[in-house]
Amino acid sequence: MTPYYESTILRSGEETADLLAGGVLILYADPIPDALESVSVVHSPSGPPAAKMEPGHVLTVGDQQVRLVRVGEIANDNLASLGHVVVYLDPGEDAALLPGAVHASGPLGVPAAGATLTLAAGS
Amino acid sequence: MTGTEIETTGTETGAVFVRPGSGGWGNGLLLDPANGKDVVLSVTGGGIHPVAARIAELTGTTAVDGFTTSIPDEKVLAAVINCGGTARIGVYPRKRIPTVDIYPGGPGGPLAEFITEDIFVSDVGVKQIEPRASDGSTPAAAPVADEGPTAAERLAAAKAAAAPVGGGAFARVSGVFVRFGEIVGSIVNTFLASGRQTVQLVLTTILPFMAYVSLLLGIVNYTGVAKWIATVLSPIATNPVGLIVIGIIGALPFLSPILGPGAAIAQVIGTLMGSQIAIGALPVQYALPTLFAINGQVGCDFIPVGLALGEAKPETVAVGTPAVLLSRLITAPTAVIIAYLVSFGL
Repeated sequence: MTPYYESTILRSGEETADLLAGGVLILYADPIPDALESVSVVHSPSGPPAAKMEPGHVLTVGDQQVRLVRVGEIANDNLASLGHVVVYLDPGEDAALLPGAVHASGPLGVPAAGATLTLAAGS
Repeated sequence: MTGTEIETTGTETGAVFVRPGSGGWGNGLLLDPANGKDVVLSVTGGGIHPVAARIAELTGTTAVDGFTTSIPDEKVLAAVINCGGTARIGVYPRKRIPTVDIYPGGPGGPLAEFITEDIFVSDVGVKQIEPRASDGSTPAAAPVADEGPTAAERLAAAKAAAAPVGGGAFARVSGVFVRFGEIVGSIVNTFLASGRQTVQLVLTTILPFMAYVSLLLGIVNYTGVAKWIATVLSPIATNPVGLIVIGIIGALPFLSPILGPGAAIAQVIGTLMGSQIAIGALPVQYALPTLFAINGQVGCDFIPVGLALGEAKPETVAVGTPAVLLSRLITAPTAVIIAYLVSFGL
């Protein structure tokens, strides 16, 4: 499937590895306030999202893929306005879905600068 | 908000109080634009949020877009966020920057531990922002000079959003109900809090104290030490100097806590003196000084607990207990002497 959102990873804050170990990936589009740098993976989208995220869609970061399970109610607004998504990886069936979060199944490592990030409808 | 207020004088700055909204979290934040904190950071995306603009307007500070402008932390009065629950909700409280969330979020996500009531409030709209001027008046709604046209537009939007809906008779009637509800709520809360405090005090202070006194009483009774001291002292009770000595011995800091419970001295010497006075062997003037002489130790077992009941800190108890015990050494014999002197007229 053709991605509806494409972006390039610019940099990852020093705490992103710890956060990913805890199953949380915080994405923000450049530029962001200094306060957010340490916890965020900053990327540069090529354009606004052409579709809304939905369960079953696939998030690809570099050569790693995760499938979206649940999408919070303001997650799509955040993506459109700030390039901001918080991905909770394998949070468990009964974990509460925060409004800005998406839940996904599968592991992700700290993305390297220059890696490609895409969102696409599931195949 | 009426149009007249906008034209009022001055650019003086004032503090604002930001309440949580109906679905919000926290107790509210007092934002005081002192110590060079003259920027409200709008970390909301899409320019400056009306809430940030309103806070800036009322405090005489400047609202800036946190995504496009970098501001040193020490200049930030507050960060206004519209966070979905993970990142911004935590990073600003972690930096101890007062954080105002537009959305009704609470502690959550990996940074939940930093999200505390003293630094975070949520579900905040323009209506939740109230002026807290030091002189009690409503501060002038004067936009600061260095705000750009974008900010001015936002201010207009903020004012429009702040306009009260409805009004008139309905507002007055509902105002009465609201006030009545607030009064009932405050009474219930007071009773509830006092009840909770009472139970807390009984459980954490009074019951342990009773257990401790029972133990002490058992030891004192079993060893008979207080009774033995009383028996030894009783012969000297029959003259004024002897009474002073009994007062001093009873108040000795290392004896008074174990002579307090059970009141053996008061019983033994009190009974002895009472019967002596009754049969006429001693003049009745001895009654008052005896009373003070045999009670120098009263309450000395109770001092730490008494201090704890007064919510004293452990350091205060550590210093206060010997202070009271030592002061008894002075007041007990003094009381005997005064009682003796005032007994002459009897």
